[in-house]
Amino acid sequence: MPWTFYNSSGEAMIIDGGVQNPAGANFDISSYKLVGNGGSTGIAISANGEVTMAAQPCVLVSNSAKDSNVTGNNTAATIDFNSEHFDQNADFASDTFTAPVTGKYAISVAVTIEGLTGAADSWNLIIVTSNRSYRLDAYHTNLAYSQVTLNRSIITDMDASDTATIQVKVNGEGSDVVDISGSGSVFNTFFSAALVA
Amino acid sequence: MIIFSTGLKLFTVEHNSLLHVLNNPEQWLRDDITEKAKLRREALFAEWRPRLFADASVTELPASDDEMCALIMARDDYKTRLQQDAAQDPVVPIDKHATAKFNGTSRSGLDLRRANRVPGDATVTLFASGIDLSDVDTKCMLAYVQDIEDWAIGALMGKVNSGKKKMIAKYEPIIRADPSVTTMPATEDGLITMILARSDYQRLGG
Repeated sequence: MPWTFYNSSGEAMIIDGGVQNPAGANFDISSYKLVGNGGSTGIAISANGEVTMAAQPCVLVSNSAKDSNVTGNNTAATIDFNSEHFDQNADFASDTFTAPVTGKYAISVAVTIEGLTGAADSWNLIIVTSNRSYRLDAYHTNLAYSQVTLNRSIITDMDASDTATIQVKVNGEGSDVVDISGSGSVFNTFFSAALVA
Repeated sequence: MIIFSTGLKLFTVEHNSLLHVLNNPEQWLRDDITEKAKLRREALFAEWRPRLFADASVTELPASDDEMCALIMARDDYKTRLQQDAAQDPVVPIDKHATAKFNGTSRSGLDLRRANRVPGDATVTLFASGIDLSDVDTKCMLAYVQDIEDWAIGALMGKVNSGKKKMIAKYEPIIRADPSVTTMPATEDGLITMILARSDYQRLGG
């Protein structure tokens, strides 16, 4: 038996195991899904009450192998994330996250650089988004270690089709001798992004 | 301002990937740019309104959007994104990552794991006469974006890649379940060409 609900304007929403209402939304009781605008994927509620959104933008990518000699002499290297672990809405390709809709996105990144020498005197980790950049600056003298992991998180505003990439810039080496680390098992250079609001 | 005055050239596979998810790629990008400019104008107003309220020398604000933009952009303390980046220490360089990838010049010599795009082989032209942007839309975007053409290329190629991924995600299981198919192409473009040739291929939304 169908259930009919009315809003304050008198518009009806009919729920009958997946009947579409006049506005285009579809609350499918049999599959526990709320779907809008003629789509097939929306908000799913399991029998235990867990809520999932299979097409919500959400990405995890990493760098699986070392990229050698990419910075060190003030070269801004765009990080290569060649290994995708999940990309729920097909928003990541060629080292670039592209926002499918306007919203607030949580971005988290870690980049491990190696091959540093005592000559390295500064490094930057930069989250480059279309509207602005977010930069982590570090300055050192007589560096005593050859590897360091830089990380940053931000919730940023992105308009539809805005992009986000990650750059690292090391200076002081005299030439580009610094590598971006990568690993196939324990990730030390990775990027994740998700639409949060 | 006219951007892409000689058009944008795509590969057939790229164009078909756009058509997988869009009815009219040119109209979509025009609308996207217009929406981006509108959102940046709103962001500009939101950012500057408190500053203007706090400025005793400002006695009234114009009611029209265009005049409000003009007022903000005429101020001594207003800077475009490029001007802001140039004033940073260290200076933030102009980033044209999307353009470099589109032109096949990115990561040259650094990364051999992914072949560069070869733009000279592209055959499908979009926006043969370019895209005409209004003066106020251009200025509002440049308040936040370093380079409008680079932004637009990033938007376009992001949609191309999204179309490719969504097409493959839908059809690869269908192909694997098809007993008449014994082998599949080993490249993304090859797989897309195979998908497009299937009699059961349908764009998203039919």
